[in-house]
Amino acid sequence: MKLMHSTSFVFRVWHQFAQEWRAQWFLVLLWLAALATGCWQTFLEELPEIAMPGSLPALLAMIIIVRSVRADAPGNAEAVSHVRPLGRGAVWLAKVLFFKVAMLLPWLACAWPECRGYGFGPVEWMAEIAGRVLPAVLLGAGTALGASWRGVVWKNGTLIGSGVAGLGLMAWKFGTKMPKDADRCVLVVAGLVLGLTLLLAWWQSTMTRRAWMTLTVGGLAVMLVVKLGHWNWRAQPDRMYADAKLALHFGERPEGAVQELWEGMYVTGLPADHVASVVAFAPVDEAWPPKKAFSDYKMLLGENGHWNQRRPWKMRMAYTHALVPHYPAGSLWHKVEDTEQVKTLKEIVESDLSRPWRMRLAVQRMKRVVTMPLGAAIRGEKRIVLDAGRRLDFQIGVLNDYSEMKFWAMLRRRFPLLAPGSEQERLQVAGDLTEEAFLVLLHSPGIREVCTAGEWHRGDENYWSGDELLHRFNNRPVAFSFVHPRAQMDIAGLKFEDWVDETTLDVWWPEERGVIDVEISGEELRRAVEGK
Amino acid sequence: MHQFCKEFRYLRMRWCVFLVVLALDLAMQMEWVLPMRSVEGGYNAGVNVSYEILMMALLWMVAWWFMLSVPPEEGASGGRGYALTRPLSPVSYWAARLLVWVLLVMVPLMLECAVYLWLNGRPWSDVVLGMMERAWAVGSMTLWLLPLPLLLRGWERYAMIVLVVFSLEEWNGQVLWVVFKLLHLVYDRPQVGMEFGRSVQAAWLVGILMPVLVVWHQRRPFGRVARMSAVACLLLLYQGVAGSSLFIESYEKPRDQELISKLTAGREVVIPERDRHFSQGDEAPGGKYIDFTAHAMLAGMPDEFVPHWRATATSMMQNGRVMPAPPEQWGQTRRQPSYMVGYLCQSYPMASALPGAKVPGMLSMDMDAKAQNMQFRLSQPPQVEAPVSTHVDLTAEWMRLNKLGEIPIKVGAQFKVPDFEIELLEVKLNSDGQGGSAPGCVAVVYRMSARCFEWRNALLPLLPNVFLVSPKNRFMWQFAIHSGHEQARGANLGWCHMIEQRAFQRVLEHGTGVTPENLAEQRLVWLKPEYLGSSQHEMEMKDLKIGGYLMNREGWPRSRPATEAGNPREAFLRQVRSLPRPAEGAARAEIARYVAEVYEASAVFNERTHRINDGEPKWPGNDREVCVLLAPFLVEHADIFKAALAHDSADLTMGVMHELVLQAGIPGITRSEKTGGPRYEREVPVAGKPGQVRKRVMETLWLSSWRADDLDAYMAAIRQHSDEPLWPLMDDKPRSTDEVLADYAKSFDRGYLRWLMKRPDVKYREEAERLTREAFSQLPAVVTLERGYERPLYAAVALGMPEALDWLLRGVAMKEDDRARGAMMQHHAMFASLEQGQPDTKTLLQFLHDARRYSAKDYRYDATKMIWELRPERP
Repeated sequence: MKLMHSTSFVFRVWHQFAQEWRAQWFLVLLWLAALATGCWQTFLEELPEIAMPGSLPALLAMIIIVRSVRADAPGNAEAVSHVRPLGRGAVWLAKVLFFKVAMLLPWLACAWPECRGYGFGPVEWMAEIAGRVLPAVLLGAGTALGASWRGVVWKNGTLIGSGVAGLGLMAWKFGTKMPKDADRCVLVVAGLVLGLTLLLAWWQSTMTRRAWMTLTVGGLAVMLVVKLGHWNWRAQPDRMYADAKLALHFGERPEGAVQELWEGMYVTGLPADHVASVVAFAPVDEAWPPKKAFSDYKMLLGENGHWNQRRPWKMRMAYTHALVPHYPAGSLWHKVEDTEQVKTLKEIVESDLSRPWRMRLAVQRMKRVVTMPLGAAIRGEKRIVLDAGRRLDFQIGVLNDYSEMKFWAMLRRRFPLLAPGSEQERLQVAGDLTEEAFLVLLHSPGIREVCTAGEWHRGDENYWSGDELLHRFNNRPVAFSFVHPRAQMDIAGLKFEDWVDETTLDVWWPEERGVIDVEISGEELRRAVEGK
Repeated sequence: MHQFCKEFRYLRMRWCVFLVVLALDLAMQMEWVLPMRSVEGGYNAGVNVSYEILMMALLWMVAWWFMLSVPPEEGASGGRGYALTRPLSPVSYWAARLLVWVLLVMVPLMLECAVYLWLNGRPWSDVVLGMMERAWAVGSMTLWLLPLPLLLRGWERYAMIVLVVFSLEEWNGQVLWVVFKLLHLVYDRPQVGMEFGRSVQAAWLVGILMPVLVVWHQRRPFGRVARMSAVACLLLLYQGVAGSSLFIESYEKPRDQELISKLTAGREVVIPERDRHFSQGDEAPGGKYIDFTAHAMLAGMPDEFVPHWRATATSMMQNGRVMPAPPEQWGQTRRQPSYMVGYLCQSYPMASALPGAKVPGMLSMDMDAKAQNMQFRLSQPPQVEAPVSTHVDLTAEWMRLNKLGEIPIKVGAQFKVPDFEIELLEVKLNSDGQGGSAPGCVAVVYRMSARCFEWRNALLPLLPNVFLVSPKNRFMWQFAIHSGHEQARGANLGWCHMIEQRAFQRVLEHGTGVTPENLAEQRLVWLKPEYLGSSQHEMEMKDLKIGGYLMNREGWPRSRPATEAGNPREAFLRQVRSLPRPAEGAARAEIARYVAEVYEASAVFNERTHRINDGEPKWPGNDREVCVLLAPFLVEHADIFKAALAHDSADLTMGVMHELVLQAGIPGITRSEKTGGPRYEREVPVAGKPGQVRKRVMETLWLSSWRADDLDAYMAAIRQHSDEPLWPLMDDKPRSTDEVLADYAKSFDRGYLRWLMKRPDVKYREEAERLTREAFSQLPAVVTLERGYERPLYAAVALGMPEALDWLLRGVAMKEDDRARGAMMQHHAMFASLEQGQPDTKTLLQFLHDARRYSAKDYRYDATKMIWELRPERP
């Protein structure tokens, strides 16, 4: 006759864990397959015609949780949880561990293939993980609580009614648009409180069948957080550019290294590789910063007459000019695109020459991100990390039709929104983030040429911005185009292959160095407009 | 009744929840809670999901939850045994369930609709119609909801509601799209919240299968997976039927097919030459193709009927070979042919299609003359330069605008017609509608209410469009940056409200006659496109050389300076000076490389050769220094320069040649005082007539890229120090009148017209006049005519047509003073000014001021000189 031995808590937890696996293994495998498919779909440029619904992994997770929790829920009359010799605590902990190992860990592991290659640092990785844990805990704990809950009708009704009313209030407060950073941080804290509340309530519901009070207190705490919370760790204060040498010059172009903002207005004292751009310009007594900015930035009019919400940043000639010292003197610098027409200073300030104006200059430093032989660039897809969370994927699109060489590129942005904003996010124009810009050029020393290609707007068709509450996703299709050196080919017999062999492709990226506000008197403006 | 009372006792708390949600829905539709807000931030302030749709989802979820709630003993398989032993017949049981549905769900929903319509002041007929539609819509769920509890157990029902209906709806759409594509059918889902008739009809039709499924299940019970899969399949079928072309709503049907058939019979498709556009499409699955777009008309069709064309079949032959069909554009077709017609209001000039009495000279301010209403794909022939014959079967969908009403641009202005109401809430001047300033822009915010019953809908199938019309100035604006409605209310209840914003551009501008002071005199007009019907036509394009229409890309690709923004002439010279010049007698390859570098720089700094309006060089100076540097190499290696000449648009080769010609001591060549270049003048012997001489003159020694062989003649003259090789360049044949007329028919050049109108043979004069009038009548009624569209207008002015003069003067009046030189061609059209040399800026400025002050009637036409003159008796 065998005697029963008292078993340790750890063993009982392990026993229940194994029990869960035996009961759920098929669904867990299904869940892993759905997770892998979802992960694979994120790599596709275009989803298959019948793509896996994005909600399927969440649906499967909920089914697993409901099945698992219901099997031992205290409110489930068919279950034998009350007489099981394991103890409710061990059962609960085993389920928590099972959900973590079977579902949460694989879900977190998906972050690795999805985010790899975006130049994430430790902060971004931690924020990415936290951004995945929070919704998982909310969904998991909420589902588990719901599955183990057993209350009288009026209590259930009150609970559901309160939940709907809470959601309604949230919707009214935040609108149905994606919240801005300040609201996002408050919602994250509220989500954290809610997640802990649900987890605690589930534990209480399992152990004592009394979670009513916890839910009420937790719900009130969430509402208080939403109403009174003022956190914003994402906000980045304007970084001021502090270089005493930078100054504005009005009138005739001065000698030496200067950058022209408009004819008659110049920036002096910029260090090498640095470029200044006007991001705000308005009379001193008007709202600051103004809604309109005057250089390097434009609005796009989308299809059907909608103003597009995108704010592309245009690389003007000044950016190219800053690169000249990096290449042999005497090179012919040319580009395919048209020169951007900007409003003249006179057109902007003419009506208000009597009052002083304020100008905000953003200073950027051009940084060479990569240099590669053109021959390598036209073979296969290339991936370049521009900045943490920004990646440029490009490949050759048109090689020699009509002497064109066009690269199709995708500027991918993927950033965890729990992390503080990046350097690039410090700069806002008219209250909005601008779209990133970069510069690609071909250097052919043999024919003394540098051909630059700013990005070409490829329309909105494949543009995709899928910002979520905790993650930013943005795929921006761009193209950059060069021309073959036809003069050398037609006159001097240069072969296309020889040109490719001796040419390199460089990618330059503007790094934010800060902004500087300057005040311009009416007299100085007049001098600038008159060019004297 | 006993069973009904039993059910009611069980459901009473749930019913209270349903009534609360219903009351909340009514409060939201009436804007007592969550009122609609004005769209202050324009489109950016729009929402991702409308509250109305969220509320609709909540209401229906609660209604379904209520109806799927049955006591445990009566649900699914658990109830089978119980039901068999109950002293209640199945008929009584189902009658009670039906009563629950009708009295507790359907009637409250109908009453909500009635109360909403009554509170909105709708007539009783609308109230009754609204209740009937509500009953029809709610009733369609009866066959689904009543039997479902017997098929699904407890949590399965709710899982089915929440997960399948909402989470998987999008996925179902994808599946159906692929299935319909495989079957070569069109799948077009109904618009959520606006178009529910098809969904209701599909629910009735497919719902019949649900009781069948339940009966089957009761006889041969299914497993859980089978039960849920069966319901999911029924839902998929329902979505497929709703998105199919099986049901055509009354508002989708053509309004007057008979009229269209009668009007279009026997008419010919007309596409003016300038309106044909061919472009090469990208490599698509199925191969390369040619995109054909055009502005097509039906000869003699009244203006108020506007067509949109599509090809139903195309065939192409080249050299007797039939080309394979172009890749299919699947997904471009919609269920309803009227769909594309609706877009025309935003993209196609409608000035001549306005309803009501015609306003002569009404012009659209913001439309492109190149607007197109026909697009289809053609096969890409192997040789695009060789002629092809194309046959196209066309279908035209016809639309006519109906005027709903109009209001002055004044806050508070409103109009009400039985189906439609408008109230102007706000007018923003010089605003882009996004909170930013936009000079000349006028943004209007208005509240729109419309009847939107499924059976009587004022918004479908084509939404009304608002136009800004200036009756006195005869201008209209039809393209508006719109905010999208931030929210809508009542779209499911038969009378919907929405707040919208439209921003019209270039309204408060010079020459439009619209100012902030007279804004109240301008009108906002709401026009609703009405789909009338379709007509079938055929079109042949014979001996078509597609290559002639495609962009010529044989030259060097354009390239511009990347770092130099200053004077391109100086930059070019700086660049050439920086190049290491080969020594005399250097190897050919080295010289070729150097010449190539100079030509590359020349192409990059091509702007140095640009001229401003009056023909003066934009960047004064010349390339003489560069030409002198290159000249020695031309003598030794003319072949290098000949290769360059084919692509040289900067006239660099000609400059080099001029330098050599001047140095060569050729008889008759001297430096022109006027141009600074070489000039040839000499009396030379007449061939075959000894002793006779004739004077030959070349003011400029031209060299052009399309006559590269001329360089050989010049080089021969240089090498031989003789002018004889130049003589063949001066022998030009005079052109016949027929040739000029043929050229005029293509170019509408005023010089040709004036020459033709002076021909003694009347047939040429009549033909020229006929061509001009015909081309003028085909011009799109837009203010800005450019890129080849302006020529028929100028020709019509030169011909003395007052309506053309009116059009031209109104366009000139809009030019800014500092762009007066841009009115050169218009000035020439009226006064033939270029024949006496270019008018100066002062004259053109005066022309602009006259255009703003006087109208066509203040001018008189001098038919002899073919010019216009201001009447002496003008005001």
